[in-house]
Amino acid sequence: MRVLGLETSCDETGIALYDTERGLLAHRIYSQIALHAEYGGVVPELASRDHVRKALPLIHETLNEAGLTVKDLDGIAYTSGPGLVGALLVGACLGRSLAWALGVPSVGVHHMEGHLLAPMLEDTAPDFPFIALLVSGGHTQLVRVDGIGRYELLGESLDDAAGEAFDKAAKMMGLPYPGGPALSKLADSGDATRFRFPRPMTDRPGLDFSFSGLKTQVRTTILDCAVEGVLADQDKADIAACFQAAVVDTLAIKCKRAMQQTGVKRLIIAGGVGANRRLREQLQQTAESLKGQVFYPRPQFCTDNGAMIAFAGACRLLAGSAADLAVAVVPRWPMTELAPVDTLARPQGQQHG
Amino acid sequence: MATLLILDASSTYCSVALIRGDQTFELTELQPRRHAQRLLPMVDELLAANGVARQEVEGVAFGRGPGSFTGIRIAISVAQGISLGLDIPVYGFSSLRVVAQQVMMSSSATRVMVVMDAHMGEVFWGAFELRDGLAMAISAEQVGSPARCAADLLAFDGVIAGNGIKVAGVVDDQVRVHAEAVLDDVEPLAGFAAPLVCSAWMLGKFAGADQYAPVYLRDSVAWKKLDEQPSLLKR
Repeated sequence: MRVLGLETSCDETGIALYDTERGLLAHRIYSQIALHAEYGGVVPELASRDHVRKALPLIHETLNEAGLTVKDLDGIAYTSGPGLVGALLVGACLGRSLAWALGVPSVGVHHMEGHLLAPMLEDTAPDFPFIALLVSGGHTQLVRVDGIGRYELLGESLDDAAGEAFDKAAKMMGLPYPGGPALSKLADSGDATRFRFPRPMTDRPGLDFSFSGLKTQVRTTILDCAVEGVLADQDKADIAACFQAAVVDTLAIKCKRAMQQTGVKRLIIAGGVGANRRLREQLQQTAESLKGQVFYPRPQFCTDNGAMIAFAGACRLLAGSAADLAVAVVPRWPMTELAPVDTLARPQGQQHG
Repeated sequence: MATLLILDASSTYCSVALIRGDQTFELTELQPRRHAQRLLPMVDELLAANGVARQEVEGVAFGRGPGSFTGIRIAISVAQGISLGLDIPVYGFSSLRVVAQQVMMSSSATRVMVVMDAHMGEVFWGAFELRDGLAMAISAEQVGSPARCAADLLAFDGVIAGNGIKVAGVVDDQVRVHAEAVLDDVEPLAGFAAPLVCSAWMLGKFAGADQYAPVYLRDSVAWKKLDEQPSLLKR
């Protein structure tokens, strides 16, 4: 089955073609970073407008790269939530109407399920069950995965997502947008032991996270070190290094705890923060200390992309899931509401929100 | 005449029409904020009700705005998907022009200034004149304050139409006396776009889906740029 995947939930237009026999055939990602840079964050209206401009040309490029036409498609998958409603609607309306015109089935995919299954696009894909750490600008979750659609939420952030904390800390330091990657780069030249930042919620049982206090700590430290509103380069690098170490340690402590509590030895990392090198190194050590294994998608599939949507969509379409003609997107959508794939024996209507 | 589909989601109405031979069939529903849920089902229902298979459709036209930003994106996205899947060309028409066409087809009006609510205290407007049975633009489409629009309305001879008339400050007593007629309950409906769409088809104006873009008119966003945002450190 050949499935075209469309991802337009936030500030990346991702298009991909996945074949259930041959794997990923082609993919394209267009990032809107430059568009939002002068605002220091994603402007929803601008994001929606850009998806309209980019989606169709990227579909043509993807099909051309694979040497296929729309007539070769057996199904269409599009992100139907969670995300920015106006942005989601672009990909969902385009994908759903394309499927209608072609007379093939389509399915609305949960964005986080896409991230969760992204490591399965790689040659060394994990077997079920595994623990997933989903870390992005919008989410920080620990999920036990026993199969496609069999998700148990073990813990999540009670306030800011880890990526959001990275971005906000970077903004306070005056780093260029997007702040997360800029902060990580700066941290390489900093002393991660100079300031004592907390590892929030690690001193008590449980797998939830909280990053907003850490953000306040960064703010206080910046104000303590700054002289007449100017922060020395070394101070900046040290704060970045200490902040990153605090976030990475916290994530690693909770991952270890999740693996110990469940007895599951496989850990996957997905979402934009999953591209962070320090996080990858530390989780590798964590898993090794428990005689476990860590799996990641390639860095370009850590951030939003069409390949993960095509893949997750293909799994659900194969299981008989099919969207009806009413296009519905769900800006807020708990992943635990998803149906397990093995219960989708026959085609059924699916309408969200 | 070719078999053509028309979509409009630029107002609170969700409206689709089908041109088949010399007939036009229309399906319109008042569906505020539910365009995505109704547009494609309505296309499917309209074709089925008239015994037309989707493969028979030769072109798809859509209201490209100005109007509801989300609505026009839904219309263009659905038009793009249909165009790509059926390998047929598209045509984007002005939502203001459809309102003018509608007024001209329903009355003896030959000059119409269309005013639509642009929200955020602004309106969209544009003037049209009847030529060979079609509403043709005689001014650029604009977005702006009710006061700027009112000044244009005072200088215009003809009918004023559209939901923007209800926006405070657009039509005062002076404008009302000056105008030939004031029609505040006209919304863009797909069926009335049929003459415009047929003409575009004959003139070869249908083109690849990437040739027509939404027309928002308002390009500023209510969002502060970084240098206007508060900062902890000196910039």
